Amino acid sequence: MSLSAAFGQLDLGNGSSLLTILDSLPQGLLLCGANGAIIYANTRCKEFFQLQDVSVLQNTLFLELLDADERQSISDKLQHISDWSSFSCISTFVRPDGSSFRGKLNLSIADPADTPQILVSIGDLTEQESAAIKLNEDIKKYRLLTENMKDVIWSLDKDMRFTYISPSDKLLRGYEAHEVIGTFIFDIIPQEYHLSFQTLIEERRNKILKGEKVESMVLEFEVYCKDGSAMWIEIMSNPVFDEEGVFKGFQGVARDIRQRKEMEFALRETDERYRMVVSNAPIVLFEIDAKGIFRLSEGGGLRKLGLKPAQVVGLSAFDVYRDYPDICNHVRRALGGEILHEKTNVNDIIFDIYYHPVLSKRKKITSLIGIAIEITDKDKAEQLLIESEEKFRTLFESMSEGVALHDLVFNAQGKPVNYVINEVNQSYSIHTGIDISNIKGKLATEVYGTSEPPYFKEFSDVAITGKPFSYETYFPPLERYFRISVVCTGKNRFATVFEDITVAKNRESELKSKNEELERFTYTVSHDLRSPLVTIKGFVGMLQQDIASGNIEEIADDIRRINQAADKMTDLLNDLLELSQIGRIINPPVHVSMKEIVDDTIELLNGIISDTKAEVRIINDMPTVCVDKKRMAEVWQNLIENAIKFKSSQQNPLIEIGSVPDHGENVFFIRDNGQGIDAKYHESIFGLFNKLDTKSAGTGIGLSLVCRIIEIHGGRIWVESEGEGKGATFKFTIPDKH
Amino acid sequence: MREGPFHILLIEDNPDHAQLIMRNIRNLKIPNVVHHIDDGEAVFNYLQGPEEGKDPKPGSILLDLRQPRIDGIEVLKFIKSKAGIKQIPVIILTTSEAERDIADAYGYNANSYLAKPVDFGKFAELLETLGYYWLYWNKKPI
Repeated sequence: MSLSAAFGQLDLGNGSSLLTILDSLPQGLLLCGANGAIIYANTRCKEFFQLQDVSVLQNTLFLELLDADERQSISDKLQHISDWSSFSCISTFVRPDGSSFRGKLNLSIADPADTPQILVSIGDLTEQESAAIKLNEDIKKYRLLTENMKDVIWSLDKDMRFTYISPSDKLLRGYEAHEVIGTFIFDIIPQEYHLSFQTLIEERRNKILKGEKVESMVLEFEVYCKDGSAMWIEIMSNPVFDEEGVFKGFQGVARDIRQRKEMEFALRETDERYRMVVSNAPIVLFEIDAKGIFRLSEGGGLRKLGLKPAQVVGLSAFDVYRDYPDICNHVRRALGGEILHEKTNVNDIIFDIYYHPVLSKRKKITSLIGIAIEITDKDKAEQLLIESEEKFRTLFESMSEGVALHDLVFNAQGKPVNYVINEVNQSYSIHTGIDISNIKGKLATEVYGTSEPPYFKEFSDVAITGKPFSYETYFPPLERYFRISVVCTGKNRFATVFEDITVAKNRESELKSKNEELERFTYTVSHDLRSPLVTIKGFVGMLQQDIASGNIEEIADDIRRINQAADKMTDLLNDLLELSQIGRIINPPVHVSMKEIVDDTIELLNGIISDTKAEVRIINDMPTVCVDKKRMAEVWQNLIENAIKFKSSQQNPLIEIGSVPDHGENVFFIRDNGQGIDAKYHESIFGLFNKLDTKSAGTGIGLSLVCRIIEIHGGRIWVESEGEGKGATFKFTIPDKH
Repeated sequence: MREGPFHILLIEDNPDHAQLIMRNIRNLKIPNVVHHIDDGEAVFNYLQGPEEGKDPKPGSILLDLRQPRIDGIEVLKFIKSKAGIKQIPVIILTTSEAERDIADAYGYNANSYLAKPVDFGKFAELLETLGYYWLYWNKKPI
């Protein structure tokens, strides 16, 4: 049966039960079982342990209500107390919420029946008891402190003279206590602090006189040491009053803070340095709090914006930059937690702005730190660069010449061995016929399919020496002529600017051969026309001589020669006229059977053919050609006439005409069995006015004429003959296109 | 002063010009014989065998450059490359005034280059001067 139940039943006769009495006691009471578990606690315990309800203490071990350090000694004591004896001490109690209080503890063992129980009483300490305890504890602490302390304890009287200084001042400043006591506080403080110090003392004195509370104060200043140097100290100062409350002076502690001050100065210097850098650099450093208010605005970049450092501090960024929705947007986003890097134009000044949200320990955004770097010039330069790049790119791409940019490629020994194509323009493929879609980064040997990189010597010389070089060349892999300019575009780099000049080259060689032909022509003409002139003038002279000398026989001969030469000249001029007309006066080409032309020509020459008893055979049906019909008839006429003229002593002249296909062209031929032509004349017979037989009729223009007509039609003519007496075959081609 | 007539070899394809040249040379007061050959082929034959005494070795050769069947330059090359006759002075007498012909002629060691003047007076004068110079004043190679 529990004791509480027993107490509860006890009626004291005055209407109150024992429990009521226990609850009204000034002590807290705990009744515990022999094991120390609480069975009962009176209502006072509620106050001691600050509980809503004392029942929570039930079944708790009472030792757990004591400070952990004291449990063991109390438990020991408990073993040694006998029945109905008791033990008292001052102990520290611990509340369930973890706080503690000091109280009187009384323990006694109650054994009302055969079950021993522990009665615990908890009482308030008296004031004296508390003070004594506190003093005792304080003394312990102070002793500990002073024994180890370098700090100096001092006291001043109300006139600011030292009444006490602890010996540690010897260590601090080098003074013995007796040297200090009685001296005036201002004697040890440098002049510059006197005014502010005096003011401070006055203020405090006045407060004290008015009865206002003066709290302890911490001050930092310098004091003189015995060696004359000044030292930074920190003092804590409290006013001192006597028992009647009369102000007696100040007392306090002083300590050496040189190290801290040095650090502070160093820090301040560093800070100053950063501030200087920031204020001169073309940047703006700013902080905007969560509400959008500027907290910081520093940096040389502000000058460009017409702002002073900190001018916008306290203002809302959204107001200051209301005309810049971009900036407002960025600030909003950064305050929302985004890290941003944006380019912004403020009044034509361009800034690169970094926004960085700042988080508190609880991961809440408290502000944003920003740095704006002015990049106006850089940006303009970039813009110009882009524009210039675009300009040159357009030029590069629209150039009619092919352009290729290359890098030399070196072997392990550092010797250039190849070159790589970095870039080509559109015209590159026009001039080379090479597809450029896959060309970049390829080696020259790969692109051109050569074993050696083309023009390697020339190109590498330019890339290495930097001297530009131009030349014209025939490039066999592409079967084209090129004009190439090579320029050095950097160390071991070069560009080629080139043009396919194959057409021009072909024209040039055509022109060259035309010029040669013209030269031959004028040469021939001047010689051949002059020749009859020499004759005419010569025999006119002779005639005069003969008439003068009466040489009658020669006169007739002279006149005959003059006449002949004049006729020759007429013939030459007519022939030249005809020759010059070929190619100038053109009858429109018509599709016509070559056999038809030959038939017509034979018809025309019927007279001389039958006179010479020549036989003209057309061997096959010749193909249709597209020719100037009249001119082609002249070709056949000349060739047939020649065949008859040079039949030599042949009794049965035979002329065969036909065509054979050869390598995709039609080769027309006329074969005779006449005198033939020695191989050494096979070329010259086609020359103007060249006659192998000076006694034969004609000016020697016939084959020149034939040759010219064939050429005009795009064909070729040549003669085949095994030599004199073996007959000759003239052959010519007429391309289909004509 | 000289033994026998002076032999001149005239290589000229134009019969009229040959006639003019020969008549003018004949008018000179120097005994001479002009051997006229009207094509290159004959020249080779003439000059092949002067040792045989068939044709007299000429004292000088008058050569027209433009021959129909053989180029005068070829004749010149032949003469100047052949031992025994290469010393004979070769005088080019032609209608051509082309620089190329002049250069070629001297290039192949022609001794003189004369262009036929169109004007007869000058033509006659040229041949007279030529005749006296080469036939009279000029020492024959030995």
